[in-house]
Amino acid sequence: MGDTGTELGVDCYELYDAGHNLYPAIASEFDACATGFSASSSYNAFVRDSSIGLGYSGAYTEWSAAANTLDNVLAETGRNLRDTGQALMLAANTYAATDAAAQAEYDRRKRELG
Amino acid sequence: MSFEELSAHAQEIVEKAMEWDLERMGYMKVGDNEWMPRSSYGGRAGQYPGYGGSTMTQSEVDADMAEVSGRYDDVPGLFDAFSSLPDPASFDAGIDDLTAALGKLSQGSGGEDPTNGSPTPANTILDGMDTSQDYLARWTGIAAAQFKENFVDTFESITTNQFLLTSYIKGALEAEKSLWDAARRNIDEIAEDTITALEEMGDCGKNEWSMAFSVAGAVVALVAVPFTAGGSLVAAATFAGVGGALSIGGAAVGNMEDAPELDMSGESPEAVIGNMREAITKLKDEISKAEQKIADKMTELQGIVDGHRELFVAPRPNLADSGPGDIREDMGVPR
Amino acid sequence: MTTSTIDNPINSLDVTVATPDEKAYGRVRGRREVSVWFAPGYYDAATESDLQRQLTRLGRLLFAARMREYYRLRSLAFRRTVTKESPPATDRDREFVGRRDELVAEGSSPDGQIRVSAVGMQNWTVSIEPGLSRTRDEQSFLADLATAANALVDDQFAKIRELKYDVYA
Repeated sequence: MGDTGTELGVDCYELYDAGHNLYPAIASEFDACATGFSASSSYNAFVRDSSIGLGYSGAYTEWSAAANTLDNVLAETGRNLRDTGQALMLAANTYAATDAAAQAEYDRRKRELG
Repeated sequence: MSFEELSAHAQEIVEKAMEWDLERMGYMKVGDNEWMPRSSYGGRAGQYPGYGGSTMTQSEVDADMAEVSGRYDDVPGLFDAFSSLPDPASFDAGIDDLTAALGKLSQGSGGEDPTNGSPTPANTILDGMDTSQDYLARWTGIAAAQFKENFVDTFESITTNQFLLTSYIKGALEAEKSLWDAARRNIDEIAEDTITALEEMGDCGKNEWSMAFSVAGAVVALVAVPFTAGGSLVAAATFAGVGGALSIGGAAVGNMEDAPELDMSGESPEAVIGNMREAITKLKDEISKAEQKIADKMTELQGIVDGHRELFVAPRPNLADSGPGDIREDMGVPR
Repeated sequence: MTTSTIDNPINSLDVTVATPDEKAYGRVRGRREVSVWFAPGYYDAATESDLQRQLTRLGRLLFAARMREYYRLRSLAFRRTVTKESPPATDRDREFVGRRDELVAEGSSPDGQIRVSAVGMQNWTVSIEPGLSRTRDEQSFLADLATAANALVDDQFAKIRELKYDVYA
């Protein structure tokens, strides 16, 4: 009922790989998207005489609402992933500590595979 | 293009119009903005027999000047508003930032940007999510299973939707860029055509020309694409974005009609400038229509995201908040 | 005259034509500058009635060439190809065209010995005082001819303007 020993060590390493390597890297990509773009830095581009088009700031209100929503969903994705990654590392360390053989395998893999 | 010289053009339009009218009334230019009635031995007989012996008083001359300049004193103001038209280049920074984001959100064999049809190389860092599917699959805990089902398994389609969303928001900036590029060109064309028409009025043929409002084709409708949920298309979440004519390449749908045109003609400054006023009004109208298209599309897009938020972001996994006290219950055991 | 803030291509109009037998040449530059010259030896060999006939033909050809070039440059200026004027659309247009066809433009040399006229820029008459080409060398003849031609062009422009004032005020 559930892996033990070396097999458990392997399972723990997988969680570690996800939580320490894969997920933070992906989360960084989402964070970079969210922080690399800000709707308000385009505000001045829209500004013109209020007698032209849709007025002083044109379509900025509608555009920036959608742009900010995008920013939010990307930031949220990154945050959730990073936090889950932390939980997986906690899980890996917690389960590895229950079994000496598992811990040994876990440590060996971390050392050799990163 | 001489968009920067708009107010100088406006000034020239007024001067040329006044010159024609004053000459027709029998005046002669004697200096910068200085006119006097033509003397009887200079040219046209009849109207103003001679300044010295003329029956015209200074106040009558002043009245003529005021009347003529009054005909065209609205012209500089008409162009003034256009001098502040947005600089197309000012949208580049936002477009670049969103393009960089697209690069990061592109998966698998690479995404195709619907706003210009160009392929975006895949970001292989995202492949890690796929790799982690097997890792998570072996854990029996409810939180682990939920995380796998609701976050890991949906990642590909949600990220695709985020990719499209990013592209549409970028497309709106590209539409703005194309709109203002065309608007600047069109107002400049109106000014220059008016000057040319005033210059050519004295030639022997009919003085006729036309104005093509290319601004009408600057904001281009794209093919409608449905957002996806786990491999199936969600018809209720179908959206057709807009892009800019400058960026569009082959990705447009039915927006390639000829630009609306206005035929113009005039054998007097009042006729020529009357046509100019009409062209300016039409340009303002076309600018508003184009900009409204962009605003409406963004409102529609916002509505789709609001109404189907789950297509664009997975709910926060319970696992994300697990601590030492609940981690074992949340993860279960590995098989 | 106001210096312009635009570069009107029509200001650079420059067209040259020759009579079919290539004995007489004419050139229009800019709005009004007309010059005429002959193939080498032609002036000395030609009779006065030869000269009148050549110059009459040249006048018509030069005007036609000028108008063709004018429309080419006008097409560039307005970014749309137009090769001739559209048919009259209003009563004013019809009146203008009718009166333009009958407009008489005239010019003469300072001593009045060379006179040029055109009706509606189509029917040209060149009158040379009998014996003039015997007593004048080619250069001075051509100078006087150019003066007469330029005066005709000025007269045509002035009358067209008055006509436009009258019809389209």
